[in-house]
Amino acid sequence: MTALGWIWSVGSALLLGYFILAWILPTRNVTWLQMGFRLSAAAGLGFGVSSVTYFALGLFTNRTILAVLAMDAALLAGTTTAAVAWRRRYRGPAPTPRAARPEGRMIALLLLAGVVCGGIPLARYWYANPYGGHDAIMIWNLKARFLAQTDPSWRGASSPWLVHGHPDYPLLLPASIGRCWLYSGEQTPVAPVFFAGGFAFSALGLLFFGVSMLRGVASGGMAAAVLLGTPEFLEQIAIQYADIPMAFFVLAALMFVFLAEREPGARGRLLAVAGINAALAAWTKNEGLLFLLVAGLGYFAASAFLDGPKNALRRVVAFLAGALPVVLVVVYFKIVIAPSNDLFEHQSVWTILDRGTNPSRYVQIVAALGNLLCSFSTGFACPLLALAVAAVCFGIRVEPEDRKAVQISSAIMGALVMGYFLIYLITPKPLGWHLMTSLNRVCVQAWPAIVALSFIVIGNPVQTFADRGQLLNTSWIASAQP
Amino acid sequence: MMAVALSLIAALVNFSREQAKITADSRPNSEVIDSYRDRFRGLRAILPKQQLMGYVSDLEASDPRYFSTLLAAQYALAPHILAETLNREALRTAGYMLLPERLVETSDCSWVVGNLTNSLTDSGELARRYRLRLVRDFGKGVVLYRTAR
Repeated sequence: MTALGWIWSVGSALLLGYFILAWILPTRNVTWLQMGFRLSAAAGLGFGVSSVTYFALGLFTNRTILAVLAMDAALLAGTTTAAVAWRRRYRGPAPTPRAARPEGRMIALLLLAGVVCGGIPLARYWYANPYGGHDAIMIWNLKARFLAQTDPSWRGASSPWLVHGHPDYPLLLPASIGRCWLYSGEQTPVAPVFFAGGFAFSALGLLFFGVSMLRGVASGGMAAAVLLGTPEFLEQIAIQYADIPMAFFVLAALMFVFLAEREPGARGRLLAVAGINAALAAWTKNEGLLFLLVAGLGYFAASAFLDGPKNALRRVVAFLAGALPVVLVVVYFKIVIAPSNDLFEHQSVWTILDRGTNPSRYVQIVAALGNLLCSFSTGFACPLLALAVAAVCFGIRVEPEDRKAVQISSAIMGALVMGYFLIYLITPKPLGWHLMTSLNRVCVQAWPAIVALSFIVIGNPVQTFADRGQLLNTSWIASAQP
Repeated sequence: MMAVALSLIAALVNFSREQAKITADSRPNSEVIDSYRDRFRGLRAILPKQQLMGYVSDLEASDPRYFSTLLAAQYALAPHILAETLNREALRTAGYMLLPERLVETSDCSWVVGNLTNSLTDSGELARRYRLRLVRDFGKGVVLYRTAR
């Protein structure tokens, strides 16, 4: 049962993600970059949606293995049928894949070798410490042990009695692990390790293929190398915290916003996928709720400023339509199952105002951020320096078709950073302790998206030295007219 | 391509250094969790589900090991929930920032789990201190009590 359970658990989630994307974004021929992007996006999407449906099933009935199996099979059959039927009716232009330039493939192979080499010390770490870091054990994997139950005892995952339990924390990661444990029949630490590595690998793939599609393989390769060389990012993968899945969904939402600007004919559908990813971020961590809020509002505000309120409203509706199914589950969880929040409970408006107007708190937060940015670079890898060097060497060069997306994404990321700042400002917990225990993780959540944004803005090295634009081919989906 | 290769080499060198550092720091966690899963296996199998369990230990709340042993026991016993039965202020004074939202008196729980970290501790002594009735000693410092009513 164990091996079969594993294969079905992971395989069905991956296929679900793939067919959801194929259904929403039909296409005929894709280039290797587009396929890589699609597979990377599908992995996170599949795990995310599977965790939502797995959790939702528990609200209605006991999660016996047969019930979960029947639900997953029905979902997979439904999305597969929809994707195949939609594809048959699809009459959009089929982009002809251009032959990849040899150096593009070389860079991809180089990165793959890098990931394999990098995986060795990571595997060594996981071999020595399979349960991950403190919060992985006491929050995410502990909740997963509850969610692997077939009876209503899974609700204990959000019990206010749990020591260090954070009852209000969303359940994407625990539900994913719990689902895997239920199928495999044993609660081994292999499942959390798999999800830590899987989300990290998917985020890396999404960054590489996404930036490559938009700015060329050289830019994508450098972006991926910078992410691989970020010590804080690597540490979060190793210790299995939920910040890596959260980082994946923030990056995915942003990449689909970029693609939506590149493909006006498919904008609504691409924004819907961006919405699903933003909502899955909210299902991963409480910070994801903030991201969902600022992504929706930021997108609306920036689009309204650039294209007028009518267009902005239409786009935000598409974004929210994608987000809605997951948001409903998150709202139910927040209202019915885990209503309290340790940051806002027992806080009055006056205490919030008092903290918000205390100048020393501003200084403390800025100083902590400064210290963190300095410690972001250790040893040979200096990701911030790498970004600066790349910007100096290759210049700032925004493609005209990306200009709006850059402005919108910058507005969203700026609002996210401001939101984090405000949370720290009003936190009822001792500020020094709160900053010390979370600021690095909060930065990691936004970091892959910041790297992507940076390398989309920084000039393509190949274009800088010689104009060889043939590497770029982003028309990976065209308007789908049934 | 050279730029990508150089970035990658720098990244990988750093990767190895970072991983070695983390590995050296965190090895004990797994050993503790493994040993607790093993110690509490027998108790976990017989506990009634969906009931709040009390928790008592021979360690004082001010002991640096107290909190980590409680967390390890909670992990090992999930989906059973251990309710912290010590005084909230005592824990806060000892420096614990993330307390459960609710604390209960030992007497509020029908069943109480005893975690004896010192092999010399007498399980009966803990029962007398918290006015509990010993139900079963599972060995390896794991004891099940009932509240004396």
